[in-house]
Parts: sequence; C-alpha cells; structure tokens
Amino acid sequence: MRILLIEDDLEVAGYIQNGLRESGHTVDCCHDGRDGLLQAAGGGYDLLIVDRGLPGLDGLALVKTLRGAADGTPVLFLTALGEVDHRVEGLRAGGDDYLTKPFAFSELLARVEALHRRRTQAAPTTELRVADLVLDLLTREAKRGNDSIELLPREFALLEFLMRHAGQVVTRTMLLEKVWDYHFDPQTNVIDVHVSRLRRKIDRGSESPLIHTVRGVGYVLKGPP
Amino acid sequence: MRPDSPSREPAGDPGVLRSSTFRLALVWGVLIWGLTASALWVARGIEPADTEDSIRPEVESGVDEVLAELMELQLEHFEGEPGGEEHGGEREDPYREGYEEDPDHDKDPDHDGDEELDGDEELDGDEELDGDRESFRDHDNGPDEDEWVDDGAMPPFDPKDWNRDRLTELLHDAEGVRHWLLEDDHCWQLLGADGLWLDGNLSSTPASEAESRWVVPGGPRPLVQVVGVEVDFDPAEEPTELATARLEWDSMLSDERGHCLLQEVRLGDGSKLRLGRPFDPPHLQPALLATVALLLLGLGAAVGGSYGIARRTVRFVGDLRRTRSRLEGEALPRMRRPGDAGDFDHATREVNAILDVLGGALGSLTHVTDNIAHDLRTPLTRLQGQLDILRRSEGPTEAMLSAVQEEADQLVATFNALIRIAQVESGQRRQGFRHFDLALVVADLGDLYAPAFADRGMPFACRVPGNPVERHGDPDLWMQAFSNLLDNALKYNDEGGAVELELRAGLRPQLTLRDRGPGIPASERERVFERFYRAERHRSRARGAGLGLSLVAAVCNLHGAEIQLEGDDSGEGGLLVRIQWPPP
Repeated sequence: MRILLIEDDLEVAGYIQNGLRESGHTVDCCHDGRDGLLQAAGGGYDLLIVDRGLPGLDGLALVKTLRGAADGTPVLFLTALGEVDHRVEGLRAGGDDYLTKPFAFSELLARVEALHRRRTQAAPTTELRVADLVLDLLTREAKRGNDSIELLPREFALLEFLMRHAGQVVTRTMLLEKVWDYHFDPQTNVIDVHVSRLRRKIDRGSESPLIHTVRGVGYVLKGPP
Repeated sequence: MRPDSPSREPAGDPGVLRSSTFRLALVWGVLIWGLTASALWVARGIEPADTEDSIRPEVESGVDEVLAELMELQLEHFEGEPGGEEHGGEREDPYREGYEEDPDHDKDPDHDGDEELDGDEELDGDEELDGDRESFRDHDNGPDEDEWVDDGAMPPFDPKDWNRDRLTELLHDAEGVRHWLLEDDHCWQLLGADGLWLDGNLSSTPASEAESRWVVPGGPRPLVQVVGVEVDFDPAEEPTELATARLEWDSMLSDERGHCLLQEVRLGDGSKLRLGRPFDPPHLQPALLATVALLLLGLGAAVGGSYGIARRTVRFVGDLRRTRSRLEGEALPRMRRPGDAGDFDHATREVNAILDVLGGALGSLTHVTDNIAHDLRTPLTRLQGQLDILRRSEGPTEAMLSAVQEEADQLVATFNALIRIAQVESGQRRQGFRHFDLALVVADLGDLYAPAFADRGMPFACRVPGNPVERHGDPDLWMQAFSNLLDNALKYNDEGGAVELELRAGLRPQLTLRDRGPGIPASERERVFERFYRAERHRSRARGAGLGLSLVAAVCNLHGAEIQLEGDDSGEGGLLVRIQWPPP
C-alpha cells in the first residue's frame, strides 16, 4: 500500500514511517501542510495519514481542499493529546478515521489496514464467507459448516465486522467504535468478554478456530492457511 | 507568588501616599466639578431672570438710555443750557423724567441735527427697563463730574462727534469693515496718522489703567469716557486687520457704566478708525454669587470628606499590602475586616473570598501534582524494571514484551484520563453537545456490560424506560462516566453480589446503580471524587489510578447533574450511586 504521511513532528513521523515500512507498506513523508497538499494532489496514494495541527496549512483545511477537488483517497487523522476532541469535525471534513495521540502503533496499523480494506471492498455484498463460516446479511443467519449458529443482534454485528476485516487485526477500541458506536475507554475487559462469547459460539467443537487473539492489540478472524 | 520583597515598600511609604494623593486629587476634581455643575444648575433654576439671556437686554437697554440722555444733553446744548449745572443731587431724575414725560422731545421741530435718531423705535420702549437702572446709578462718578463741571469754558458741542453719516462714510472707505452694522449705541473715534484725535464720540482710548481718566483733547465734551482697558489692546499691524480690545466706558452724562468691544481698522491715509460696540461683561450677578458660595461650601465638604476617605484608603491599602506580603508565606492569609459593613468591609470580604477560592484551587493543585508524581512513579518504576529484565534476558519472550506494552498502555490510559477530566472540567467538551436518548445510552451500557457481570457470577439487572429520555449533552461522555461506575462495580463488588442499574424517566431523570460491595464510608464519600483518591479498603482489591470517579463528577458537573453516593454503613454494605439530571 502507498501511504503518504503528513506529520510535522519528525520523531513521531519517523516512528510511524518505520513501523509501516516494516509492515510492508511504501511510505512518503511530508512535514508541512502545503507540501503535503501538493504531494497528495500528485495522486497515486492509497491512504493519507494527516496530523491535525500542521504548519503551513492545517490538516482539516488540507483534507477539505482535497475533497473539494474530488480526491477520495482515504484519510486517517491524527490529533495531539490535549486538543479538544474534534473527531466529529474531522470526520465531517472528509476524514475516514481518527486517532488520538499517543497511540499504540498496533492501533494505527490496524486502522490503516481497515481503511484500505474498506476501499477495496466497496462493492455491496449480501453474504460474507470465511472458510466454512457464512454470514447471510439479508436473512441475518450465521452458519458454520452445516450448523446454524444462534446470534444475538450485537453478536451478529460483531461477527460481521470481524468477517469484513477478515485476516486483519482489529483493536478493542475499533470494535467499540464500529460495533457499539461509542467513543470511550472502558477500563475493564468488557469487549474481550463479548468476543470470547462469540468465539464460543463460532469455534466451539471446531478443530480450526477462526477468531484469534493478538496479544496486546486485539483480534483477528481468519481461516486456516 | 510575587518574587519582589515586601520590605521594599514599608507601610505608609511615599509611593502609596503619592498614588493615594493622586486618587484624592481625582476624587476632588470630580467632586468639585459635580458641585459646580449642580450649583450652576440650581442657580439657573432659582433665578432664571438673572441668567445670561436676561443680562444682555438689560445692558442694551442701559445703553439705549444713555443715548437717549445724550440726546437730551445735545438738545440742552442747542438750547444753551449747560447740563452740568443740573448735576448737584437729583441729577438723573430730571433727565429721565424729562425724557419720559416728553418722549417726543427729540422730535421737536426747533431742534436741528437730530434727524438721525428720528426713526429709532428703541428709544420709545425704554420705560420697561427703568426699574433696573438704580443699580447702575449708585456708582459715584463725582471727580469726573467735578473736572468736567469745573471746566468752565466749554466749546460748543459739535454733533458730528457722533455723526452717523460721517462714520458711515469712514466705514465705507475702510477696507476690512464689511460687516459693521452701525447702531446708535456704537461708539467710534478717528485718529490721525499722528495718533491725535480727529473725530468721533470717543475722544481717546487709554493705553493703560493710568490713562483711564481723560478729557477730550481740543475741548469737545466727551460723550463716553473710557475708564479701563482690557489687558491687551493690540493695534492692528495690517491695515485691514481688526484688533479687538475690551473697554469699560463710562458715560459722563448718565453716570452709567458699560463695556464695549473696541476694534481698530487702519485707513488708507494712515489714520485709524476705532469702533466700539457694547457687549456683556461677566457680571457678578446673584446667580454667580450663589454659584460661588455653593462651590465654596461644596469644596469645604469635599475637603472634609476627602480627608476621611484618604485616611481609610491609606489604611485599607496598608492592609492589602500586608496581606499580600503574607501571601508569599505558606498558607493563604485573610484580610482583617473592618466589620462596619461599609465599602471597605465589602471590599475586604471580596478579597477574602478570592483568597478562599485561590486557596482551594492551590490546595487541589498541590494535591493533584503530588498524586500524579506519586501515582505515576509506581508504574514507571515497574516499566523500568521490566526493561531491565528485557535487557538482561537472552531473548525477550512474548510475555515479557506484552508486560512492558501493558504497562506503557496503562500509563497512556492514565494520562488520557487526566486530560479528559481537564477537558471536561474546563467546559471544552461542551461543544460536542447534541440531543440524544439517555435511555438508549443506558440500554447500550447494560448490553455492553451484561456479559462481563455474568462471567463473574454477579446477577446484573438493567432497567430502562421504554420511551426515549431526550437530553442535551455528550452521550460519549456519559457512556464513559457510566462505564467508569460499572467498572468499579465489577472491580469492587462482592462475589455473587447483585448489581442493579436503573434509569427512571421524568422531568428530572434519575439513574441509580447499586452493588453489594464494601461500599464507601460516609467520611470518604466526598473525597473519592478527588483525582487519584482511592478509598482505603479498595486499595488492596484492585488496580486503578483513582481517576474514574473524578471523571464521573466532572461529567455530571458539565451537564448540571448531581451525583450522590449513599450506602448503609452498618448493614449489608453496598454502594448506591445516584445521578439526577436537572430539568431540561
């Protein structure tokens, strides 16, 4: 994936750049809003990571300008701790996701890959399939092989999200935001409890579990290699 | 705290005195101005007849009368009667009465040279003004009369002395005198290039007070005598320029005084024409006297009052300074209150109230800083230890790395929580307010936490109204606050103890959360909302930064909701958290 990182803090930029490169992405870096806009307008990027507070041109204006020019490249906003929560404002300006500093790199990586996936899977679908797990989005039925699985509405939503991001790490915060639609930090493992319940329903009795825990980061749903 | 030493400004030092003197001067200025304005206003209100508007016609009428008497005199001259002989004791009355009894006297066909005045209507209307004349006539002008009377050989009076035609002719020649509307009460004189009197009803103008008494050079009887001159009579340098001077003139005949404004214009041949017209001098009228009296009275009051104010101000400032210098000590001092319920007492009370607030803020700041340092030192020490182990180990295991990661994550979470509390407390998060359904938020919360309680074997009940509970606020913040409360219940509740969450609709919706944990003793219920405070009996039970309830309190405060902690200290224990929203 070709990623353009627009971040004025050299240390943070270097840290993100290295991490993304190690994950197999190509990363260009700009440290100034105006340069970033020119570079981004040059096109060819799959994703933009844009800091909100940039010299030259602030991140919000940069993305608005790009969107005004009908550039639909996915944008992940970064914002410094202590700033007012401008998440809604950022998303309204055309950002696709929002991450507050400091963040674990794994969180950033998970979100970057989720954004990329969302773009490549834009086509509407009625059925999700991972290995022998099938989720029918119209009848809202789940099947593992020939066994039908009874799911509560929230469990269905959780499984749908995991299946849409199959093979991709999703963090607990991402699940809370995308499945429950709240932005807050639970101090206890409430999300883990939900995932393990779902896992019991999906993977019970199966020799090849689909839902895997990624220690310190989150979960990934994937079929056997 | 200010670094400057208080010893630099000892009590009652000149700096304070200077500034208080300046303030006093200011107060005085305002007082005097106010008194003057009000005195003037009062004076005007009391005696409207004495205001400027009425002075002018009075003077004008006086002048008119003088002219009328001059007419009389002129006529007498023509009749060969030396008017001066009549000036013994009842001088004025015969003239005035003669004029009044015979207003048509000047139209007597026997008299020549008075045509100029024939049409003058003003002379006929003088009667109304007689009443005020006495005040002018009190003035004793004896010596002049004597001088004039003693001057036995009087040349015949020449009517051209105040010849209107002659003056009109002169004015026509004089450049720069375009707007001189000649009136009969005007006086004038024509001086030759050598400065000698040539013509006019003014024989001379004195250059100074010393010359203010004069006799007409060459003998003609003066009609108007100039007895004083305003400070700067400045003859024009340019031929066409008019110089102005104010002259006080004195009629030899009527013994009346008036003022005229004298202007000078140079004529082409080097001669000078001086023209005078009456104007109102600033009379010391009763209104003015009243004003001055009131002003003096007010001044006295102001001085007296100001002295008292000054003394109290100096004392107040001294108290302030002493309090401020003590402020540099450890505890916040308070000012001594005069206790008289006066202005300074109020000011002192306000200063003390500010000190109370500052003291509270300072105390909580010190407390929080201490706690942050203390509470972050523990996880940082752990982190250091884990990094040490990593360095010494031959190959870091996944478990080691995860432990380090977890520690760092915990630190970040603590900082995030602190910053979130600060944002909520500063009101910044208010911009995220919108209308939302509180019942839905609580239902989602129950849905999110139910599995966690079930896993721990705690019966969990969540009851929400069937209908939406519309509120204005930030649902994410409420979710965070509620989740902090439920996290606490998960952490501290007794095993198997029931947890009940309930939202009740109404004008003032109410949320209650009850658990069966150890509860919080009444003595600690206020303190648990402080940052980093952790109830004693909880410390051993679970890890936590002690920020959860601080955020709950901040969120409640931001939304105007009240939070209360209740519990039965003697009985089965447990904690009841009650949040009540204000009416929408």
